[in-house]
Amino acid sequence: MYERSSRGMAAGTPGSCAVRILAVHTDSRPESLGIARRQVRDAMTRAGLGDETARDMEVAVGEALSNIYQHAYPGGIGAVSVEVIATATAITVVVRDDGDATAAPEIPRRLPPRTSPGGRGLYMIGRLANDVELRVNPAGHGVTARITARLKTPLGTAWGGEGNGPARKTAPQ
Amino acid sequence: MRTFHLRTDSQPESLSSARRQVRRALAGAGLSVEAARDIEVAVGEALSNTYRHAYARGVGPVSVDVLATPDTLTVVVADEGPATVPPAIPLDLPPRSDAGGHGLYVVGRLAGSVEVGIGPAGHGVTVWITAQLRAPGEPPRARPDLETVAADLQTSSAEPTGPSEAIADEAADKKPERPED
Repeated sequence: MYERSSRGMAAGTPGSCAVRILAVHTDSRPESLGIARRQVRDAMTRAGLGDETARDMEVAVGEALSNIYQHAYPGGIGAVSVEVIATATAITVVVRDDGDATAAPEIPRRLPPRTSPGGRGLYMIGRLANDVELRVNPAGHGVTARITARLKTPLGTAWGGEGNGPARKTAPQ
Repeated sequence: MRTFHLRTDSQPESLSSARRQVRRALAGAGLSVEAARDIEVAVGEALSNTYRHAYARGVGPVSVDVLATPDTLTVVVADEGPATVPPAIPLDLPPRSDAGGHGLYVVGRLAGSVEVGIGPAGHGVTVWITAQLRAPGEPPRARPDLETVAADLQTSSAEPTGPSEAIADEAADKKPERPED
C-alpha cells in the first residue's frame, strides 16, 4: 500500500500529491476539541511545517473548533471530524461538523465589533491562513471549513520527491 | 509519557506477539473494553502493513510504543522501510481493484484518530493511533457501524493476507469478550 498510495495520491488531486496524514473523529466537547487541536499541531510539525506557520495554523484551527463548540450544536454535543491533508506546496486542515446550519457563514473583512454576536473567530482565521473556504456539507447541513497554509519551502523536498529529504524530528518519543 | 516500548521485526509471529503485548499494555490504561479492543485491532492492521508493505515481504525492524497523556493513549507503530512518502489515509473503503489501503481505512474507522508520517531517518512509515480517554459517566461517542465496515471488507478484499488472517483469527477467538454495541 505504501507504494500504491503514491499512485492513489497522484490520482486524488490534480496536479499535486495530496496525502491525508491525520484523520480525527471526535466530538464537540471542549476537551475533545483541545485534543484535536494538539493532534493537528503535532501532525503539521511532524510533516515539516515551520514553527511560525504551524503556530498560525494552530490558532486558526483552534478558532474553527471553538466556533463549532459555540455555534454548531446549540445545547448539545455532536460529531466533529478533523483532517490534515499535505501536498508538496500546502497544508490544508479540514474541520467539519454535522450541525444544523444550512448556510456557510461569511468571513468578515474587518474585525467585527465586540458587540457583534460572532465572526471574530472567522476574521482571525481569515487573517492567519492563506486560504479559507467554508461550505455546507453535501448532506445539506453542517459546515466544512478548509483552512490552508501555502508553503514557501515545499514539503515535497522533505517527503523525498527524489528520495533524499532532510532528516526530520519525528521520532516517536 | 512512554508506558511501553518494543523493538521487534516484521515476521508474522513477531507481530502477533507484539500485538498481544500491546493488548496487555493497554489493559488498565483507562480505556473502555470496546475502545481497547478497537485500538488493538487497529494496531494489528498497522502491524500487518509492516509485513505486507514495508519490507516487500522481507524482514525488517518494527517498533511499537505506547504513549499516555492524561487525556489520550497513543500507540505508535514504526517501520524503517524505504518509503519516503507516507501512505494516505483513505476516508472511504478503497475499491476492490486497489489491493492497498484497506488496513489504514480500518485503522481510521476504529481509532479516534490516526496520523501517518515518515520516520526521523527520512524513510520508513510511522503510524500514530490515538484513543481519547473518556471520563466515567460521559456519553459514548457516535461510532462508525463496524458491522457494516467488516461486511464491506469481506466483500471487497478478496486477496489472501498474511499475518492479518492470523491476527484476525485471534480477534475472532476473543470476540465473546466484546459486548454488543
